[in-house]
Amino acid sequence: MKRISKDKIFEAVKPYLALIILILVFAIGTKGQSLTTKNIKIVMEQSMALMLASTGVFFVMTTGMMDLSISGVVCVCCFILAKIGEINPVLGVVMMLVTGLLLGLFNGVITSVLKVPSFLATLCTAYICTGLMTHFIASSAAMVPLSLYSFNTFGFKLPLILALLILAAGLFYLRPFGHYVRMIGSNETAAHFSAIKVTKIKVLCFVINGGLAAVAAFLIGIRAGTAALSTGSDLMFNVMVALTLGGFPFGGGAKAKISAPIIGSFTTYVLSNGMLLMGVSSTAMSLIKGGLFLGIVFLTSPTFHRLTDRISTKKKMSLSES
Amino acid sequence: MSEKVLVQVKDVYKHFGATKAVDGVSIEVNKGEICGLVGENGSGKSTLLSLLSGIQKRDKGEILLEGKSYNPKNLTDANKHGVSMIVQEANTIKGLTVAENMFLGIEDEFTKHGVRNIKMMNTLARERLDAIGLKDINEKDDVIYYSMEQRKLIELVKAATVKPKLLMIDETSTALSQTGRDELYKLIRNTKERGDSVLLISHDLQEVLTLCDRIIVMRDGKIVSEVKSAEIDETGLKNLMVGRTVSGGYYREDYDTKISDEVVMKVRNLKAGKRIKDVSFDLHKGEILGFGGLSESGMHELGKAIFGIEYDVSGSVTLENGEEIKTIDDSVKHDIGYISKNRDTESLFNQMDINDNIAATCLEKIGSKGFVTAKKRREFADEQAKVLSIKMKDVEQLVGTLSGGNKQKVVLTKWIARGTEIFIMDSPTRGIDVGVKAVIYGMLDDLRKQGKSLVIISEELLELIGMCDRIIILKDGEISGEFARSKELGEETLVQCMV
Repeated sequence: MKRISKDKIFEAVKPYLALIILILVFAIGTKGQSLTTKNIKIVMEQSMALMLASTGVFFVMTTGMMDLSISGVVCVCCFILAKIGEINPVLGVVMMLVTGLLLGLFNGVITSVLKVPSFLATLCTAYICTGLMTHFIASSAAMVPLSLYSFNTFGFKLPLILALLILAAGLFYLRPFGHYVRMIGSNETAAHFSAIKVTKIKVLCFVINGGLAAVAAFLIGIRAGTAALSTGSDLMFNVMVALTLGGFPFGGGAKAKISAPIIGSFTTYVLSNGMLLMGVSSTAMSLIKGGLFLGIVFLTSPTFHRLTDRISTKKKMSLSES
Repeated sequence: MSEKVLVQVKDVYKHFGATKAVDGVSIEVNKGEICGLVGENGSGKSTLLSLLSGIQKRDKGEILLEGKSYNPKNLTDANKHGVSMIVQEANTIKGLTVAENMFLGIEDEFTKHGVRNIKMMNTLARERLDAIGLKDINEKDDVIYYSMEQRKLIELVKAATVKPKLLMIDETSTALSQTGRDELYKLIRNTKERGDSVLLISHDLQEVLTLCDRIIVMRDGKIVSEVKSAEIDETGLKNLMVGRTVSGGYYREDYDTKISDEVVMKVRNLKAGKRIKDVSFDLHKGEILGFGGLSESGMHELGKAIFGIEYDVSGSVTLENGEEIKTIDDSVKHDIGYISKNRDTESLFNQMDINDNIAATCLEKIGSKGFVTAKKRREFADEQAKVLSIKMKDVEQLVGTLSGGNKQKVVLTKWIARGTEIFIMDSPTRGIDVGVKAVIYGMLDDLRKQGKSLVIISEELLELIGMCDRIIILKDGEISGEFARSKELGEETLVQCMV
């Protein structure tokens, strides 16, 4: 009994442990440079958009689906913010949110109502988004209205993020909705047979995802000042890395914790930032991140567990023989 | 060691964390012997077989096959040693054809120069299917098109093909109808006549007593007794399994209870899918209404159709107040609950906690202002779990780690907790041992006394006869007979109606 609960605790603190270890490693590696107030603030600011985007994807993936369109959606939202923001900044923000929600709804309807596998459906959405952007942006980037730059302060962004994340956590843990999401991820048929409105909840997850992506686009837009073709392009992979580092169970939704996207996003940027400070080139960085991603996915996969089981059984057997 | 011993298991252990599934077991199986293995759910029978078939590896101990040390790496490896197994859950692989499934692991025999002779494989599969009269199974079809029972039969053919030295069968007969069972029994007897051995797990004790030469009783991972079938009867076996005296029968004892005139559900000219052609009946308040028939009779689909799961339904299902049931939503809103035949795939969230499962249908009820805290859920589940005394560590245990009987208790609790008035139960005691069966029958009787109405669909005729106020027999999607509860009602009368 004791052993099981110990395993459980270890499982729960693993993402935090990884974060702390990384912070320590980089603190030593950069001789304390990474721990200056200024740098910590930079990492926090960088990770904010990722936190929102990966929290959105988290809802989708907990139901057992996938979203590959997050980069495209963020790019389109950012463009809308810039283009309509030119006419009226407030309208720009509103339309950006509407766009995000609509794209989420689009994904949701295609995957859940029309039952196109989410891998394909969202990949297509991503392509549609990129196509639209290539057509409209062409070569020159669209500028985000100057008046919106004033929102690019820590004092505005931090409370905004906190509020959204608390809302998301409340939705996930305290509202029946959150339970339904996990149940669908655990066994969709059983959820359906328990009168849970599976289609509606899956669509809602995508809508939430789209909405959060729009807010992420806002943060990226006011930081970068422009909406270009490359806007948000690294987000898709970073979301995956963040969820992995945060301990998201890729096998199924039942054990998903909302701390995964939050802690994971932060860890992802601690990693990027630390490597940057240590002078690692951006090419090498992609390499390291990709390797890390693969490594963790393998370490948490059933294959690996079987492997370790076999080794420990062998040990036990040889112990009992001797 | 004498010549006639085939398998010798010596002091074998297998623990899963704190669970001692197999705890120092030693048995011997002789050549040409049919050996029964019985015990309550979670007593370690299936685990023992999985150690013998290479599905799991033992922690400690030794297994000898014909005097040689035997350490199978997996099922295929065990097959090569002449040990094959029919597992409890369907073991056919979806996406492969019937023929491919039959020759799984031995495809090489059909391969020449790297090219597989599919035609030869299909012809051989056809011959073997024909040999036991499975005319309506096409060897070229994907197994996905076949029912659980037909897939089991395919596995039987497969097992017969290999002609194993040791054939192990884990709780298969409950998934089979009478014809399927006859095939199974034939396979078992043929194996014995060949001079090979059979190790059989079954919850149907009568079956074990008739078929087996010797019966091994397990409890809590240990062997508690070994008896010759001729020297014991069903009650004696039950007592050995549970470890105490089991009192009387576990079915209902009343025979003169009058059914209320109040009709709670009216089903008229129901037609659904391919299987149900025309079914009409009334369900009364406080009544247990049984449905029996062959597994293709449409009775399993009937349960789904009433609950609103099946597509393509015509006819009507109406309630007392005239409201019509069309979807699962309508059903649950009007306090109808459905317990599926396929517990793991259709009823449970196996990777979630017991409390998540119990509260699944009542989250909105137990919450206040739309919020449900973990504490509230736990308290609610704690309270509800007592009703059927679910055997567990606490309500935060994963449902997937429970035994079959306790899983079923969780499913029942889920609907009882919601205040369900009409229960539709498909094979409520499938694959469940005597101890838990008794608890479930007791619960069904209690529900009836509380004025709830129950529809029980079952392939076990004795269960229907023992529990139901009325029994309707389905044949080819239509009603072929209706019987009132009576002491004189026997299996034969029902069987005649079924075929």
